[in-house]
Amino acid sequence: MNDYTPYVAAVYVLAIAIFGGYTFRWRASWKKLQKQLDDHEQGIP
Amino acid sequence: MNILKKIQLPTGILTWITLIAGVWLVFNVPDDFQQGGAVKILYIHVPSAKMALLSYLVVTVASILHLWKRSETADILAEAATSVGAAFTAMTLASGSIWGKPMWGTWWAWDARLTSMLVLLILFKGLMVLRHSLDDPVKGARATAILAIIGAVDLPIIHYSVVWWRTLHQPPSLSAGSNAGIHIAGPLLTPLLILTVAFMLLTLYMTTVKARQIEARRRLDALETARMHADE
Repeated sequence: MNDYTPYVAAVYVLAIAIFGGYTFRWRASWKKLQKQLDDHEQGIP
Repeated sequence: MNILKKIQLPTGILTWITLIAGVWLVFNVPDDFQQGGAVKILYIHVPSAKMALLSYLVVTVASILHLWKRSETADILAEAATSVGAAFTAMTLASGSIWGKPMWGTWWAWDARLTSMLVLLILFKGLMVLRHSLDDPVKGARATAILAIIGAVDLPIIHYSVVWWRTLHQPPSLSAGSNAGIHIAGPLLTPLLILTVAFMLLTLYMTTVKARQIEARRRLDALETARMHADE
């Protein structure tokens, strides 16, 4: 039987990179925007 | 949009639980007698494909609501689901390609299923580009909604491509009806079902996060526009 481990590993690593990466990026962006909104509410330029 | 704040944390927790359970099962069930270990790729590929199609369906419904009710909430949901759907479509194509190399001997084939999924990715990307290419965000939202509704014709083409055409791609892995699709043995079906649920929760979680980011950005843009007009 052929060894498919490199192919399987590549898919799972890619899944973590894509889904984890985008989620992390969007959360970080949201937190930054929320801070700017909070600063604006408090009158901080 | 307060509902997004309420559901984000519980959705995230449930996503982690189902993902861990599903992946644990994947690496603790027998391999397929024909595919060997390569079957483990399909536990990511199949749910990703389902979520890609589900995301586009959400984009279509949200776009109809936006055009009909002029709902900004629907537009935010459409924009969020577009980004999430693009990620799942990319993962579907990438995982399918990596599976295809050892199984079919090729990274790619201009097969009906693969080609129509590639069209879906191009549609998602096209929606993102179109929205931001127009200076007026209201016009951008309307144009994007119209394109999304027209592009929905790709969904039944993708779904029925393996039925309508003689394709390299196998018939559906999960289908209603006892004669439809492929028969999957119980031990191999359980992790597939659990990971499908996990990916549904992941889709919901990612859409929630993205929608909150979009809403915050729009609120900030509106405040900055108001400040500019006040200064004039």
